[in-house]
Parts: sequence; structure tokens; C-alpha cells
Amino acid sequence: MKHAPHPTGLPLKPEQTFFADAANDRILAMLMTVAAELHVARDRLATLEMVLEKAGLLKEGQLDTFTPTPEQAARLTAERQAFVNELMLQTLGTEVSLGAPVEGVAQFDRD
Amino acid sequence: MLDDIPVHRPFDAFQSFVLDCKLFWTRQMFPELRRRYEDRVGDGPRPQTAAEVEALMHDDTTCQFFGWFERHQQRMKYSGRHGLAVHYAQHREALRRALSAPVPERLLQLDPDFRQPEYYTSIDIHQHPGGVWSDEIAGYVYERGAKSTAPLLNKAESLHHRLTDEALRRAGRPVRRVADLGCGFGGSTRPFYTDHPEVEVVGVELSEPCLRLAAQRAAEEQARNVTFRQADAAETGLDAEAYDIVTSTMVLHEMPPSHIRKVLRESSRLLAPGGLSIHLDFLVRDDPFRTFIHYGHSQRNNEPFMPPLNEMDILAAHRDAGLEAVEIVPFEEFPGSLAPGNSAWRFPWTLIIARKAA
Repeated sequence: MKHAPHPTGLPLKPEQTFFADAANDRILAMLMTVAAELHVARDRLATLEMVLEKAGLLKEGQLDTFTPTPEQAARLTAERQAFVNELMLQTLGTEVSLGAPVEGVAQFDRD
Repeated sequence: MLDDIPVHRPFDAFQSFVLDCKLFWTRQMFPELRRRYEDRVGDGPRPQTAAEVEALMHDDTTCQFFGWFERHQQRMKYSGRHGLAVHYAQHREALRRALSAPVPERLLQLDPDFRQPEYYTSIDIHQHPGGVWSDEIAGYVYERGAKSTAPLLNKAESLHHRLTDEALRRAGRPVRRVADLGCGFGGSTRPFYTDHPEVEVVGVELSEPCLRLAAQRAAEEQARNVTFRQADAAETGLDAEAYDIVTSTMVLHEMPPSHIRKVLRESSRLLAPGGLSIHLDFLVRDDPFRTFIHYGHSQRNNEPFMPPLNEMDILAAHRDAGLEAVEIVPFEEFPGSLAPGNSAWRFPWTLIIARKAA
């Protein structure tokens, strides 16, 4: 996927950067995109609550004081733990696919 | 019809998020940057130029974040799936119909043979993809975007009315005709034609999409005393010595000095003897830190002619154009903006005022 072509067709300029390593500029751009989308999702959730309240399907504060049944609690816990695992696994720097050997590939070059 | 674009909650939420970030940047990040600058200066020699401030601050982390956020908040505002340009393009047909709806003939004068100057088409000012001229809905997108350019400012109720009042007061005589150069979508023209029906005002502008929107807004007001005309402010084709006031708002910094000189010569030609030239723009004097911030904004917001305007001899340019009694006056864009206690980021709003000999 690419950015939409520029309306004038003129060539774009080099990336404008603000940090010593351009990777930081790009990571911050990704972070802000995620933050903005998180806000959009939070706004949508709040809107949904308001719509449900207006329709009489939800009382104000009902979600905050919600007490799940044991089955529901187990489902929520499993969702949370899966999310936490996925997130925290990234801190370990563990590879998940077989890369080339550290010592090189000469060992495979044999008759 | 122009204001009937359906609400799209995710778009509104995204734009509100970006605007809130910009408010934080304006009210908190900028004062913090200034504090860190003062800390770095300490008891040492104070920088005398923007370049010296840059040398002092370029490796300051807050300074780097400040620059990043200024550029990328604006990028997020215009581009991407929740950006203004993409969002309103989804309503192109409705906007096209609204922008091309018939208006009284006197409101709009387009020039089908008009050619845009190269300096104008080569750079996407404000990071608006394609600039404010290349897309039929660009004027509408620009109008939407301008609402959050300086987030502490309510242009509709403050800045343009304040400039209009200032111009009429300084004219010092009954004002019959006003030329508003580089009027964009007519925001600066509007107070003249809505609040002063005795004034005939002509708005001059390069961009057809902006002019079409300006005419529609004037038609909504049932205005009878305004014309929006497609022309270069340097060569308006308007009658000589026919105007009591020639004005512009945030226009001079969008063109190279050679073009500014032409605009000033044209202003002089248009003005009746004793007429008032009054341009609202950005100049920084005697504050290297503010100059550093302003020049950085120029680069980050794709407005590269801000430093040349700031550094040219604008007084001499006026005199060479036949305008005299030139004054450079700080402009209070909203009440209290010039007060020492206002530590928030702001543009260096300045009035450049002159008069044609009586």
C-alpha cells in the first residue's frame, strides 16, 4: 500500500526529520497514529454506551459496576491474558522463525 | 448545502484528538521549551540570532519533540484516512454541486485563462496536499483546516473583525471602496461586506476553489457589496486610485520578496491619494528565540517565504512603491494575546501600515 499520489504529480521532497535517528521520527508517527485510533475507538465505545442508554438497554454506570458471571469472568480473563502475553513476549527479543545460523551458511555448502 | 456534509464520528474524534494535542503543544510544550532555552542560556552570552538559538537548542529533546509535533500534527490534520483532504474528497459530488451553485453575477469574476505563479504551485502551503488551488474542493478543505491553525484563535469572531475595525479607524475618512488582496475563501473580506454595507469591497485571489467558496459564503449572506475576483495581487486589473483601503491578511509571507514588491507597487497604484495600505502578517523583531521558532514553523509548515519577508527591508519596499509613513505595529489577535503573562505559542502577528501621499 502506498500513499495516494500527489495531486500535482510533482516530485516529493526528502523526509523532514527532527531526531538524530530517523527511526525515532517514524516510530513516533506510528505511536501517534495508534494513539489517535485508540481515541477514535474510545469515542466510539462511549458513543455506543450513550446510544444504548437512550434506547433503554443500558443504565448509566452499568458497565463500570458490571460483575461478570463466573463464565463471563473466565472469558474476560482469557482475553486479557492472551493480550498481555502477546504484548509482553515482544520484550524478550525471542525469534519465532529460523534464521540463518550466526556462524554463516558455509556448513551447508558441501557435496 | 455546504454545511450539510454528514457527520462522521470517527473523523470528528480523530480531528478533535489532533487539535487537543496541538493545544497541549501550544499551551504547555512551547512554554516548557522556552524555559529550557532560558536554562541553557543561563548566565552565558544570550544568542543574538535564530541560528545561534538553533545551535544552542538543536540537541534538546523537548525542542526535537516540539518540531516533530508541529510538523506531524499538521500532517495528521490534512492527510491519512481521517485527514481533511481524504475525508472531504469522499463528499466530492455534494461539495462540487454546492460550490458551483449559481451566485449573483457580481459576486464572482473568474479568469479562465489565468495562470498561477510558479512559486505558488511548487509548494503545498500548510502541508495541504496539492495546495489550496489544484483541487476543486481545496478551498473548502482549507476553510475547515483554518479553524485549527492557531488553536487559541477564533478567527470568525476575533482576528478578522479586529483588523477590519483597525483599518476603518486608521483610514481617517469615510471609506467607500476596499481591496482585500489574497483573500482566500473570504474570511478577511467578510467583516467588510457584512458589517459595513456602505463599503464596496473586492477580494482578489489566485485560487479558483477558494474564490468559489468565498462567493457561496457571500451569497449565503445575501451580500450586495462584494466581488471576488481571480487575479494576482501584483496585477489585479482593478481601477487605479479607486480604493480607500488596500489590505491583506496572512498573504505577504506566502510569496518571495520580488513578488511582495510588486504587490506593494500595485497597492500604491490602486490607492486613492491619502489611502491606507494595511497588511496583517508575521514579523519578529529583537527576539532571537521567537525568530528561531518562527523560522522553524516556516520550514515545518511548508511556508518557506516567512524568513525572506522577515529579513527584507519592508519599510524601504513600501517607500519604493510610493507609500509613506510606514509603521510596524504589533497586532493583538485576541484580547490579552500581547500581555506578558501569555506564555503560549502564537504567531508574531504584525500590522504593516502605510499611506499614499494625499
